[in-house]
Amino acid sequence: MLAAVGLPPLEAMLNGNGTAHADGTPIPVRFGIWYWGSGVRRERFFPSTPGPNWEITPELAPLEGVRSEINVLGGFSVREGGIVHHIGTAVLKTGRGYIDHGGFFNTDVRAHSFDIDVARHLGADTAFPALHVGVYSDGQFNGEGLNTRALSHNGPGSPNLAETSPRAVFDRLFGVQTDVPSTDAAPFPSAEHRRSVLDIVNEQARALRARLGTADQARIDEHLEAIRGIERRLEANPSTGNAACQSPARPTQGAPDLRRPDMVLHNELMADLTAMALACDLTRVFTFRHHGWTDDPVLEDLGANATHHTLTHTEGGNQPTVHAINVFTMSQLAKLIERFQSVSVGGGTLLDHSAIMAYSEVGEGWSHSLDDIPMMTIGRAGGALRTGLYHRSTTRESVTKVNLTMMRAVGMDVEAFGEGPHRVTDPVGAIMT
Amino acid sequence: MQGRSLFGRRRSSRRPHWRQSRFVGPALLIGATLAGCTGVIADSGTGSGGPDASGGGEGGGGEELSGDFRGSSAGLRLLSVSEYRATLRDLLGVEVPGTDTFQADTPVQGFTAIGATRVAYSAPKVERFEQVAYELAGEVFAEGGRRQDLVGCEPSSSTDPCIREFLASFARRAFRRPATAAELDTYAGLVASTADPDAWTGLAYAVAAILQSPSFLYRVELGEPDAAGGEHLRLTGFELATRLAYLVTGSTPDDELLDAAESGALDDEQGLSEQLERLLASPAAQTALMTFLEEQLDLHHVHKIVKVPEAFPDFTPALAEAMAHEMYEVVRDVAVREPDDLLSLFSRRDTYVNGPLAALYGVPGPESANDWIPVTLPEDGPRAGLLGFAGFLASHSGAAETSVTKRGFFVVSKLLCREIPAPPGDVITVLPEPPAGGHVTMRERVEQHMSDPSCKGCHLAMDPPGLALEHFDALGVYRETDGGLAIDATGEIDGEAFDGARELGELLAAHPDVSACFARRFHEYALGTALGKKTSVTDLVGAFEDSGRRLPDLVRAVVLHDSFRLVSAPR
Repeated sequence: MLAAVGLPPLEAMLNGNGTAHADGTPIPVRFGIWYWGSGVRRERFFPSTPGPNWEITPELAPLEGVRSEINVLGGFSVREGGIVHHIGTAVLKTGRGYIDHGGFFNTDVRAHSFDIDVARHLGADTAFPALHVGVYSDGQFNGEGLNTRALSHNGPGSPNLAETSPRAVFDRLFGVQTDVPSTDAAPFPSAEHRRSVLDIVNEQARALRARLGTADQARIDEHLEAIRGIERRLEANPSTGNAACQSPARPTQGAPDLRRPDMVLHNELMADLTAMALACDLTRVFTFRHHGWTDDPVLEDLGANATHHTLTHTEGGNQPTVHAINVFTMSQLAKLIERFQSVSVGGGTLLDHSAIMAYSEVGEGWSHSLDDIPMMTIGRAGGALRTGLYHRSTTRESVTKVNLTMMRAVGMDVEAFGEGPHRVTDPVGAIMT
Repeated sequence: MQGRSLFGRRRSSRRPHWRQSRFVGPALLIGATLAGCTGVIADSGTGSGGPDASGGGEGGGGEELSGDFRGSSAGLRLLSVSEYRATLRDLLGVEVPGTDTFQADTPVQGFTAIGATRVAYSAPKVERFEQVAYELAGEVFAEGGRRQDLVGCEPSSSTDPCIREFLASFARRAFRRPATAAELDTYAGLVASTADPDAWTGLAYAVAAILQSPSFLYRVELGEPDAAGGEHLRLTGFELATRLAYLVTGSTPDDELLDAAESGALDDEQGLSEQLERLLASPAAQTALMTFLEEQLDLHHVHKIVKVPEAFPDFTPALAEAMAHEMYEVVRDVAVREPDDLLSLFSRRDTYVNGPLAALYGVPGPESANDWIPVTLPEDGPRAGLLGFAGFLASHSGAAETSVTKRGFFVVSKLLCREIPAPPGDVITVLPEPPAGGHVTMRERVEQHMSDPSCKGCHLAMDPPGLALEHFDALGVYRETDGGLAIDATGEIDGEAFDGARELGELLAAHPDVSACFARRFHEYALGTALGKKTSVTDLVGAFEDSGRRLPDLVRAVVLHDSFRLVSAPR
């Protein structure tokens, strides 16, 4: 009853070559982040031959079938010290270091993350500015600060947590099924009256805001932004859908079992929901947090007897279990890529119109390295990105060059990204058309 | 502790000679003066990365307070999910539907209460608030619902005077202060404009609107200038009532408390104390106060214990839930049910077991495995208190191996309130592998940490209490040996020697830093603020110590403390 989903474009409204709708408006580019925690085994992940003829490595093997759709990036660094995982994630999100509030690994971001800027650019009119999902989280994050808990932040104190319940994601995107008794045939609540109520709430929030300090004003601003999202969805017309936009069946699954998560199933459900949210143009931006490093699972089916992060610290030798987890993680990424390939958009696929940045926050888990951060770009961004390359920086360039590349690829007119040692003004030219 | 031996004998002289020759001896002290890893209770606030002046705009509360003020700054507090549910139950007499439909709370510095002053409501949560408002209003105001009980009249039209009376009384409960005339005009107008087909529907919209108001969704603690001319703001009577009610009952103030606020009764200590005692005696207090201990003592970690079958073939989720039940019941006994010295939690031998837990502990169990019976653990046994609970030991371990660092970190950080900085960057943290064909004890493996200078400082502080618990495997089962090798569970804290979990527990049960830590953390919990360096809570600690160190006494000390009433300028 509370659902009011956006209006997807009908295939019939597209022009002949699939790059634009029949009326000439271009097919929107979609942007995503795909993240996994605790890095890779460097010698088993990175190819040795840069360029188009890179060899498939053990940890990239699951991506062999989609190698023409991706670029593998090596040699980029997080050029600031600190609490290693924390600085890595902060820089990759915001182009800045973190704030350390003291206490137990209690860091937060200094500024909003770059996906927020991308969402403002791409998704001003969509039902949701962005979708934030994850496959697994234990929900406790080892008690560490906000910086560890999300890929996306509206600012300090405002993480956009990854939703790990497929059912909750479905309900948010495609409408909650509720059973509200009504006093009449008239629906309760009606969209009109919901808008009236939100007007009242808006006015009250603004009045309260005027009495607050700056930190609380920022919190109220986030609240107001969320209300604007509800209002935007109340204005959108209900849709009949098209071939590409098909509401999936409502998943019965909530968040995965903490002890024995079905990672494969939950990854597929989230990939499906993400692809459909984009296909239906409910949003054009997503973050996909496969697993973090403070809240990660014990993957017993892969032979793990501790969490991924713990194993990167404790497993000896060549870390065969860590390696197996890394291979598995890439197979999960492959699933999302294949799902995006299966959705037709225009004359091509959803992947053709997407720009996805995949990364982990450290290079190698076991040594806590901030060099050689494993990164990839996925999709062609509607033609702005080349694909199929292994590109290696030989000068220890900042990882933020990749952020800037993605922003330019989705059509943003940004001169620079990042601050201090992370500030960059040039994209990774080799992967741009 | 003035070098006086409180418990047990000094054991360093009895250590096996080979061990001393390696590294132990005086190096294994907690509290030894080592760069970055010393900790003094009143001086442990800003932590690892150092205070960050440029980040101060959103800083950790305590750093920004003026002078030596030991309170919170004026501002907003979010409702936790459980507070939101309890509040709606109290306001409407209905349950919020769905158990897993809210994004979880976001604790900061270990407490959801601190997160509530730092973190914004997420967009999914705001959306859910809107949905729940309509779901509950729809349920209450449906024909056959409890609308007449709630409203107290049968409105004859959308302008029936009883509507405004209801709105005034409901908004007062929901906003925890009287609604303004302008607010009542707004809601009365909403009733009139949405009363289709009748006034009940209009009232449903008005209630749904009130439940989405920021005055409902935020606990407002803005204060007002001190009439007596003090330099700090004073919470209004209603704000104080709200702070008190959520702290002690986990829910919104009831009518009696709001009446006390309105009459000015909370302005003097006696009036405040009377209300406090009334709330402390309510059943809700037992649940609400456990929230503090659940977070402070990591009790909730027990719900996510994972053990791998090859190491623990007998482990089941049901066993983990039994461990949880034991921990919560014993803590509830000591803290709220029959309040006792909180520190006795660490030496107590009275507990509860069902069949599987009795087997794990090696004590006689109930006749039927699913029953629970009280037991007293043997006086000379290896296990006593919280650190001997299987739930604690298993949740502070890996899935197969014990974690000396997790267990030790808990003791040092959570019980003694000492700050452990984060590990340095670019260190290799893999424990050395056991030599081929041979097993070494965890103590020998963690010695690596302590021999590496960049790791040594902090691990010297963290590892000894963890090593004291090495007689318990990753499931919490007692073991004489570790892979056939003798376990050395000796160590020292502040010059006091211990051998094993029971002696460590007894030492902690008498350690002044542990009681000071409880006092400091409860103070921070109550104010929703990490007070950091500004917290020289000597008066609170003293009151807590003098009272017998019972949790209700700590609540009294904090509620009657100036910092519970005063706030500094908005942050």
